[in-house]
Amino acid sequence: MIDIAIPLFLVACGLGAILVKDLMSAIMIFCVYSLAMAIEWARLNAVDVAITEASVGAGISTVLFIAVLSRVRKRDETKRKIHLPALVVSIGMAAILLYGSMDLPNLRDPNIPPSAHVVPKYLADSYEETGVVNVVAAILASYRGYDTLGETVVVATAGLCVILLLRQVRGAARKRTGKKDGVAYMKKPSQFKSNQRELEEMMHPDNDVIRRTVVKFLIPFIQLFGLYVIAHGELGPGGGFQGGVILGVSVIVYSLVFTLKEGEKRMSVKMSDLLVSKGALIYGGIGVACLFLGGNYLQYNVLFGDPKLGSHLGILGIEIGVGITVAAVMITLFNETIRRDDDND
Amino acid sequence: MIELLAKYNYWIVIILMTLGLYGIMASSNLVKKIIGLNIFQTAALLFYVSMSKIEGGTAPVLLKQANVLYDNPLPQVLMLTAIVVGVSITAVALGIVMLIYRHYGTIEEDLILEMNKHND
Repeated sequence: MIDIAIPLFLVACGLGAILVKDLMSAIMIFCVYSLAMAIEWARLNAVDVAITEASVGAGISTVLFIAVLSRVRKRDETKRKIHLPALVVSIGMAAILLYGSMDLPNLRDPNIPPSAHVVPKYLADSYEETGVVNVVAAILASYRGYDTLGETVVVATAGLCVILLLRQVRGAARKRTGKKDGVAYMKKPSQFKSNQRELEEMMHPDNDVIRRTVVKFLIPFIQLFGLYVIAHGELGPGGGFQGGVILGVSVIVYSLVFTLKEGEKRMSVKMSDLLVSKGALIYGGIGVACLFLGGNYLQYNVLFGDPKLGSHLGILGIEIGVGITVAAVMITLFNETIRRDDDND
Repeated sequence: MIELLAKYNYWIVIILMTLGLYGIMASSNLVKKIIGLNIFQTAALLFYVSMSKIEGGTAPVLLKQANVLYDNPLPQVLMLTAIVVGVSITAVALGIVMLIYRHYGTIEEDLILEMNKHND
């Protein structure tokens, strides 16, 4: 029954997020949507995906959206009630997909083609070959290690993109405001200023003792949990991506409650910039180390004398690398979107 | 029940994809467009992960006893990384939206297009 109810709830949330005019409400509904999606993943036994969705979709995405919303107008001012061409195109796509789905195999069938080919080998041999109990972690780190290296680099690249997009322009803007004629481009709409004040009040350090105390207590536990999720990825649900996000969140929560300035005293911009690339470097470095020890790239079992130990530590190493990069990128994304121009000096 | 569930998630995926696509095309607000993009993305994820579930299967963490039916771990691995890449895409998109707002003072697509017309 619940397998029918949750997807219906998802559709309702999706509809709400698209149709609601107030942007804050849309973001909140989208947060609920992500949370419901995490429950759906758990129902489908995709436990690793569920942890990722709960921390990324419902956590980081929402924070980023709200950070941007504190800068822009809060209402969707689309004039048209219904966009007819868009409606026709999307309904057309739905019809084609529905027609296509008739030929798709039945879900939940044990003989479904996606689980017929390479997967039985993974399930049968992964423990022997990698020494990892969680098959998801075994595939992620070992069988598809190149893939994951690529994903890690993509995440790091996104961090760099945001740094280049937002930080570079800010530097240029500062130079420009020194001149007389360059100000036009920096003129702030009045809305922007009032939003800024709101944000300042929201982020004022002295305004809530309870929040500050609770966060101070919570952060060590969040970080401990993040480290546990990274280290425990071999044995149960978890791994570098999920743990990295949780570690990043611990710093983000600190910056949210104690203002960005205080947060950057704990985790400086330079530090997080460095860590963005260091994580990927650790990952790639382990691969190169394997090459020097006579194996293939990312063939962990040559790392130490004992092949089991080698593959254990190799996988742990790359999970740590992934965790570092993901955590640093999440912190960077947050810092760069929330930072105001006057904070920069 | 099982007969209904055999195609049920496909329909949900199709509805969510349609919603996401409509959101991307119909709303002229850029933040709403990004929300639509996210919904479209999660629909694709749901399609893959639905395929990994097997009736009576358990999560793919190996147990000691033999002859346990496990769900398919491969789609889960692929979608796990896709979620993290998805949030990176969202962040870059939001960064661009902030730059657009700084430049134009609005994030409504039709207003921006009108301003560009006057500039030409």
